[in-house]
Amino acid sequence: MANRSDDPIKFSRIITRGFRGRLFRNVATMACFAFVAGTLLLTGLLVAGAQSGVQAGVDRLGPDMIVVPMDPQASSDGVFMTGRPTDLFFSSAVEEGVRSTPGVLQVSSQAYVGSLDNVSWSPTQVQVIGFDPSDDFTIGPLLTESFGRPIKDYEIIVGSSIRGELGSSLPMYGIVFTIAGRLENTGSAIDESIYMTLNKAYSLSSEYSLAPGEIVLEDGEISAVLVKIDGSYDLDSVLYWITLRNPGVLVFPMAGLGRELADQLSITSQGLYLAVSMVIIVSLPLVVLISTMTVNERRREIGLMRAMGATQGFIFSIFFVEGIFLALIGALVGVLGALSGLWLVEGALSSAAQTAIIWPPLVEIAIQASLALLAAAAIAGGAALWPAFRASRMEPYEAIRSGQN
Amino acid sequence: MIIVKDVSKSYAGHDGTVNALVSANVTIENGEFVLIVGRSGSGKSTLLSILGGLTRPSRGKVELDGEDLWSMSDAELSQVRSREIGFVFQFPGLLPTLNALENVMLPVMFSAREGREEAAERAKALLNSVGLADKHGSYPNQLSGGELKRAAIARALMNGPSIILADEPTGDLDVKTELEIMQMLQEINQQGRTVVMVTHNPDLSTFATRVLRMDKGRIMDAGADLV
Repeated sequence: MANRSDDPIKFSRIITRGFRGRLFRNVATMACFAFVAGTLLLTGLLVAGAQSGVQAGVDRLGPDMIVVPMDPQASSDGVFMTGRPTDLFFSSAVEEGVRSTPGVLQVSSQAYVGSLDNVSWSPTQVQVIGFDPSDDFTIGPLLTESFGRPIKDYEIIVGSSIRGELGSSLPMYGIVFTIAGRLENTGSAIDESIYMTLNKAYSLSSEYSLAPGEIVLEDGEISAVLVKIDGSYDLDSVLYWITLRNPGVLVFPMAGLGRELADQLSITSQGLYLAVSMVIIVSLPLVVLISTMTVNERRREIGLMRAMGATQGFIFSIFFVEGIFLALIGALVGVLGALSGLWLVEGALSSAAQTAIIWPPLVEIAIQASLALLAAAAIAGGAALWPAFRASRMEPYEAIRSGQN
Repeated sequence: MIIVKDVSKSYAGHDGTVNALVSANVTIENGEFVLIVGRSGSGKSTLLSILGGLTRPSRGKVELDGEDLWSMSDAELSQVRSREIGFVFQFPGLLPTLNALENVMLPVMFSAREGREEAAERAKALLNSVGLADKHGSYPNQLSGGELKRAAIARALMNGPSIILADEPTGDLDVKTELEIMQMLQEINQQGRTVVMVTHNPDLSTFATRVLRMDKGRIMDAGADLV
């Protein structure tokens, strides 16, 4: 019911005064909707962020497929998508074998050098990877600024999460490297990686065999061959020929990799949405019950207003709007709580989801938050319908006589 | 003029159907002060609530100035309650979440007869006239029983109704305050308004122009004019 500007008492005043002295009802309803809206928003953002992360990783890696050593234990998507390193290697000769396969347009080798923990210039574990600048087609295109010359052996290219200005020094394995380039944010493990030339990676492995396990690479080994195929060839055929001609390798098409991760995400998000549905199923009757209790408490008030001339519609509006208003306040608290919570535990979520999470742009977050608020309002509307209808249909005198206040 | 024609009210009780009101017939002329007396459970409050459009009768008609109340739509009946009838109840009949001034102004919200400024001025004047000049901002829990009753009378008069229906308005008051409230209702009647009041106290008949006696849901004596 809209306010007339000259109403003796504003409808909104009747509503807001109705909240007085009903702490349990107010807090219980708001808490319920805070939980519903917060969970909805959290789920939406988490799924959208993870999907963006996977998509960005797949889109930006460049290769059509990745060739890795046969590993019965683990999936080799780890290095590229989730930051899980692989310490299986094969000979660099595999690169030639792959290059000579019909349908292969371009190949580029990469080698996992090692992982670094607790370094001052990165908040997370860092993967150190060697790459061959001469045939690279995956790292160069991601540079934020092209430096227009070949990378030198004492220089490195850093992912977006690594601290340090271009041209500044970064100590690693007892050597001071210079940051020559920085990569765009990809939402994948690339953001937490450092790239050096394969030459330097091999010299590190021979000169600096420091603590066991710190550098696992040996001279002449590579961890993966990234492959771009000729568009006129069928991806599956090329995959088949590479596998046939290079025993001991596994070939992952990037589209399949994305699909695998997307499937994983889909299962996770289905679980989350199921949890939200359960929350709604449990909370809806609870809110109806609390609202019905409130109607019962206010029977005399309802009867009095009807005696003064309030229509059934007016009484219905009071309880309906009150329900939605409380739900919206609760939902707003839930939305703010979810956003704050996400901001605080972003790293842990990323790790739990096994993929980097790229938060959607502000506009999309605002849309998702609005949708969570709208959903809360819709649920509250549904929950308030029966109590509000019941209040409006009470016989005035019976309501007055049986009321408590 | 209020005409009650063969009105009955029954409802389902624990021990079967309860006949709260049985074939009531009565006519109340404009300007009368009618006192409905009877023991507890005699049907006097039921009759009053049917007269005021607060309880739908099981049978019969109630005409207010020729219009059948119970054939009206909810909106029409609400307008009649708002504009033509003022109610005073036995219990503290003010909304607990609004102060005295807001409570008195509330009926105007439903009648939409005047704006906020005019309503506020009249509500203040009415509160002043019932001796609550210094209680405009007080909430119901800050008022005494007598003050609550006087505020309720002020509210009943807010829309300038032609009929005041009072259900045991002095039931819980001391003798002095009871007298004050009765004098107030008498003055309202003398201003030309019809007053119909339910009470279990027959001693109050001195204030009325007619006494209507009820027992077991029936009007036993429609009363002669006492004036």
